Amino acid sequence: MEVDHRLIEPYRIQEEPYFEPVGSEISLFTAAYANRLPVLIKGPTGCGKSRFVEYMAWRLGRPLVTVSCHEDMTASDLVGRYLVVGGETVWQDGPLTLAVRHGALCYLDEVVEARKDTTVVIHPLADDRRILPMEKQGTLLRAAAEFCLVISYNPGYQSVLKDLKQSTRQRFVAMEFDYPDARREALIVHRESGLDHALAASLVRFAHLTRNLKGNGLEEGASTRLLVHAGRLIQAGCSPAEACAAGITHALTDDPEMLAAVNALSDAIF
Amino acid sequence: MDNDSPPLTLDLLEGRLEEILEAALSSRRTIVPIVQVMTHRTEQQQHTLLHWLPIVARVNPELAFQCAQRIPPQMDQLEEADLERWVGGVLDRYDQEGLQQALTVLRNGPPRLNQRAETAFLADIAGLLTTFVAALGGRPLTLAEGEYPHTNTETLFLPPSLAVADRVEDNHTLYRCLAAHLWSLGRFGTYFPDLPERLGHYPDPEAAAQLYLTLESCRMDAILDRLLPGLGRFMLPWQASRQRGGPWQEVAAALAAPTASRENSLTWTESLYGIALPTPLPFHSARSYRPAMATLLHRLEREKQLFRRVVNQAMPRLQPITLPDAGDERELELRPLADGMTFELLLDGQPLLPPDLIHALSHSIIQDLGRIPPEYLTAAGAGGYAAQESTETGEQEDSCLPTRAEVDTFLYDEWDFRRNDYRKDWCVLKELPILPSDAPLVATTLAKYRALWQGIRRSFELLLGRDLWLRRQLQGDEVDTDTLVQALTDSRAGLEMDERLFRCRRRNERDVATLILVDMSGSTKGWVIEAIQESLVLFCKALQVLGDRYAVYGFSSRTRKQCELFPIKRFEQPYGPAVEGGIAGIAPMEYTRMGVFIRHATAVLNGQEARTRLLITLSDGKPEDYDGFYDGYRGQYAIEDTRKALIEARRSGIHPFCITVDTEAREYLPRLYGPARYVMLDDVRQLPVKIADIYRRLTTG
Ligand SMILES: Nc1ncnc2c1ncn2[C@@H]1O[C@H](COP(=O)(O)OP(=O)(O)OP(=O)(O)O)[C@@H](O)[C@H]1O
Ligand SMILES: [Mg+2]
Repeated sequence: MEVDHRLIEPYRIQEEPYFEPVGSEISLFTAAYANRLPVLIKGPTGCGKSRFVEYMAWRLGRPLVTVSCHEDMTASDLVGRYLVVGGETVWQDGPLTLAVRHGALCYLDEVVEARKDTTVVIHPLADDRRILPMEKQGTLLRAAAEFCLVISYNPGYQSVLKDLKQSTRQRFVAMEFDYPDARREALIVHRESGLDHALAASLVRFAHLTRNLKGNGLEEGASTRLLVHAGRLIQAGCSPAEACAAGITHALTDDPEMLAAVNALSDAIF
Repeated sequence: MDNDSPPLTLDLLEGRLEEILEAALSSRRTIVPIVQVMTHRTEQQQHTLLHWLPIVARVNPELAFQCAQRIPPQMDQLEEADLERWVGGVLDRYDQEGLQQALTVLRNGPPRLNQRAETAFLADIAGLLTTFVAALGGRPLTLAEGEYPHTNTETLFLPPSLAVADRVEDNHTLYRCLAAHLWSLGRFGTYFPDLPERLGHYPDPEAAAQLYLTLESCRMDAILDRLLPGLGRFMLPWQASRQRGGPWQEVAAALAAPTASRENSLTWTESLYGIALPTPLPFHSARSYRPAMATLLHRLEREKQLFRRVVNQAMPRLQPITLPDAGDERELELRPLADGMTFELLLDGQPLLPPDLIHALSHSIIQDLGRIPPEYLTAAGAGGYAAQESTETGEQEDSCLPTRAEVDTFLYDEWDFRRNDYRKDWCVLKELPILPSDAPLVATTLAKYRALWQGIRRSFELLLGRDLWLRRQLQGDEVDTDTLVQALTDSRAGLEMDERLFRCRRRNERDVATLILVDMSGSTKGWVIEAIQESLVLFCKALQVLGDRYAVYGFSSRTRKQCELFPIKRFEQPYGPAVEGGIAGIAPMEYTRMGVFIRHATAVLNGQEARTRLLITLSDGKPEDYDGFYDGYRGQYAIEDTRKALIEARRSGIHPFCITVDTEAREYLPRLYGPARYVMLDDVRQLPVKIADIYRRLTTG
């Protein structure tokens, strides 16, 4: 089949995304990419996984195709399906096929959400065969050299059940992400929201308090993402207390007792 | 209370009081004065008293006698709810700290009496404060009511009410300041093992300690101001007013330096010794250090042993990964991270991601000692620790409850219907491995019930999720040939062609997690336990057919301190010989304290992600346990607690289902299992079929 590269153009990242490196993640990813190894990124929600992948795609000069995985996703949602257009059946590539064909980075976000029978389609792509069997067409698609598969998941709130199968995870170079250290996190909040350094640092301090409540009434503590949200609210004229309540606390819990307690924490900080 | 009870004559009242308080009476101590006061009370009040006294008397006769003296004079000013809170508080304190402390609470009077509008009550915000303190981090802390504010480094004692500020909100904030202060004393090293020694050379060590603690409170003021500026701002006026007099301004400035430590406070103690102490600020701890020292020293010993044991277990596993060639000299080092609140654990200079336990444990130890002393890293020989352990279990009966940090040990509340309240952390539940048996249970059961099994299997197979094909879809997994042919024919015939030419697979997936709790009490001995084992075999096999997730736990208790739960199959564990051995190993043991096990099962089930969560209890009858308090876990107490636990399970979204094989159980079953669905079998041989049947009904439709 003729490869029409225009299809992938919308997936190119034009401007450098802001990414604050925390450790050696950039060199590690670069090494994996150079060796055509797929990458698995673990980490809590909102800690910068997606941002990192975006940044790497830009840095490596490759388009990025992102798929948010969910329970009802089928293999055809990834690989593609036949459509009928004006009385003719036409094959349409799914996002995975698109990336494989055009040598893009394919990022499967929250991969454990997908059912096991869906995840298996990535197996032959993620080992040294690097092929995608297209069952419905009865063909094998060999991945372009620049193609790279990246998957992410949050090991925190998944039950054992939703863990990744060993046969899946053992195909990947694994990178562990966590919230950045306090100084860097404040810098990120500052850069992303425009908030001044002192307030950004206070937001981070508040986040740390809520992270101590993980498993103590909260399922998760405040993520970097939520801090950025709160920072933007403050920049838009909200008081820190309002911004924390609306941007962070209510995003974390609905439980009235917890809400009161977390509000008390933000009062203690601001 | 009971409005329909007969009117109380003087004789009747006297008789009842005699009866209830008998154990506390003597020739010099009679009920006469009590009766005199009571005759001036309304009949309703008399009934109320007669409701509470027996409850207290069963806990402690002396306490009941004191209640009988203290309560009646107050009754005119008391709402019933106030009285309940007062007596409840007395009983709680008795559970936690014994008679003397309970009497203090009693003497303090009803908590809400004469309340002023600005008064803040601990009871109202205890939940919030607990969360608040947990968020601050460090060792897990509990909150308790105390006569004066102080901490023993594991519990924060706070006064039952505060009315220092003019507005109730401010008194609430004061509570938070106080809790934060007590937390910081434990967190930032005020109490340390050598403290008594360091103060020992003063002519009056007690006075030196008071001074030291005053100085430490100043240091904490500054720390909290940095960590929690919002609270800092609130506390500032009080601090400022103190600093106007004497050397306190200079002291506060010196101790406010970010580098200040307790050593600075000790130095200041040296130079200021003898000075008159200012009154503590309303958010400062009382100047007590003995409770903290006692707890600290006890914990140090316990955690040292625990740490050495954990290191011992962890080392060999860690070695190949983090220690390519380290020989025997390894150095464990803890480096504080930038925030000063957390530490990184390094093994020979390499970051070591420690197992959870070591993590919590080392945090706790570092909080006390500032480091992990080298001798902690010499792994304790197995023999040495075993000896230690056996003396520990020897004193288990009356020693304090195990800490939350201990492995696989859980604390649960228990419902006391007489108080209409929970007894906090009342039951100690341990998960213990079951002793497996190699009896050929599975083979014999399958042979014995061959026909039955065939039937069960067939009916379960019918439940299997079948994939459905949705036809005539606009897009889909496959071309729908029939409609395609139709469409092509239509188009040839000049008709409009249908574009819905695909079929799409929709999964009919079951999403059920089931936990089965099996009664292993002594009364199941004989045919009951056999029937239970057999039905478990068939049930597990049937669930294997379905591929549903399930777990099986056995339980048995002997008093609230020994509630033992035996995981036979955990959710994540595959069915196999180990599980079969576990089922065969089910054996009659002790008693049936249902509530605590239902609460634990609820917690385990809620950890499962599933659309339907099912809790099945298999028991042979009444909940019952032997205990020293009241008349034990039996009768209405046991029924009400079990019922409450089932209600809790229901509220959390679980479907509880109880199966009992007790033929005499009929009269109390509706009350006991009211919140759950239940079935009673009078022939155990029905059990295997019945379980399978119930399961089918519960999980379909
Ligand atoms: N290292 C970082 N550099 C720059 N921005 C960051 C970094 N980490 C987090 N952020 C900020 O946090 C936000 C959330 O990050 P991101 O969307 O990458 O989270 P995620 O880990 O993918 O979360 P999820 O698992 O929920 O998808 C980003 O939009 C960005 O503003
Ligand atoms: Mg993301």
